[in-house]
Amino acid sequence: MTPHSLSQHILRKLELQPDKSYLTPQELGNLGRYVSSLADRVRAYRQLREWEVNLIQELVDRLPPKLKENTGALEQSIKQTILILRYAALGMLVDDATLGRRRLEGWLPTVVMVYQTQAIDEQLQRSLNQQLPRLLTDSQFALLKPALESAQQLLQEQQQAQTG
Amino acid sequence: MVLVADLLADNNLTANYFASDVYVHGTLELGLLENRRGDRLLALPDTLIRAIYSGLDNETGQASMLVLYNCGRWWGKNFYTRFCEELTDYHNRSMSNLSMAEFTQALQQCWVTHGWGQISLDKSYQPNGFLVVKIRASAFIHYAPKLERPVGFLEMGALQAFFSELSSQTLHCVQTACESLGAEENCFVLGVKERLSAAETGVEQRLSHTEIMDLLVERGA
Repeated sequence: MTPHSLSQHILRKLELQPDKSYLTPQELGNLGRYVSSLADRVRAYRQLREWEVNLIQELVDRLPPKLKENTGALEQSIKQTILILRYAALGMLVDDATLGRRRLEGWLPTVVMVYQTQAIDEQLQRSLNQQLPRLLTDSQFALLKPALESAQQLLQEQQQAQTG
Repeated sequence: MVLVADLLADNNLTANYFASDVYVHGTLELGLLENRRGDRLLALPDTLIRAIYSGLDNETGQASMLVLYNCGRWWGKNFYTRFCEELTDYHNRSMSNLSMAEFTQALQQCWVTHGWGQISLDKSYQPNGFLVVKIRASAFIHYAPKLERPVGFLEMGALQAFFSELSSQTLHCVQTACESLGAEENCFVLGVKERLSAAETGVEQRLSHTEIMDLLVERGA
């Protein structure tokens, strides 16, 4: 397997070359684990899809009034939060934890800097991380977490770049 | 009060338009490579790039540099139009409403995704009236015939046309450092023609990028 294929959808990680050999026991093991978790992934994805608006609205409503003063930054930060959640959900569905990171890298840190959304981002992400385990089962949240964290890291990298 | 439903209503959750894994599509059975809005893309094999260089050299000799530079100018001009069109359509707002940082990010991502290398803008000479553009890992320069001077003629033309369109003034471009001469990255300086003549002399004297920039700043002061 090439290092690049590590950051791909589960089915793309398989060496589909029957002229060479059958899939290895390890590949079959990964595939089996994915398939047996698939129903749970789809359920969690459906729920996130259904709850998105209400969940994010709740996070926004709870923001301290001071953070709501700059409407431009607030709206941009909300959009970023939605994007992060959607990419994390998709990444979970297809077992590709770095999907969001790959698509948002470069871009996300730039808009965070342009719209100065750091403070709101931090608050929104923190409450998102608190709310999600309450909405999802433990196993569903465990499936979502790697993709979510990997996308959220992009926001922190921005903060480090600014303070560093 | 901000309503999340309103933000989602007009469907404009825009992000990284040129992200490589969404920008390039293909129907391999039909032999089609397309960008995300269906414009056709072509993959250039390195042998073709080499062939263009040697063909031009055989047919036109010395003039091939000028031909490439002029091709670059056409490329840059049309690239600017398409680049702006795609970004405006995607973000649903005019280019003037896009911040410089967002514009630069889009340009960088666009360059990488097309396989032209890594482009970056160095604005430290902007107060002096010069913009420095750096490109790393340029395929066009990698396959260009080696000369005793910088060989990014295609890019020189392209950058000149692109930034002339962007700034609505006629700019000129000089390449001051070249990967083909062992530099870490290709450096291009953009500015009005009269003020760049010192850069051309500097390149002929094989001065480094920094030395040339010092010279330009000195002359301008």
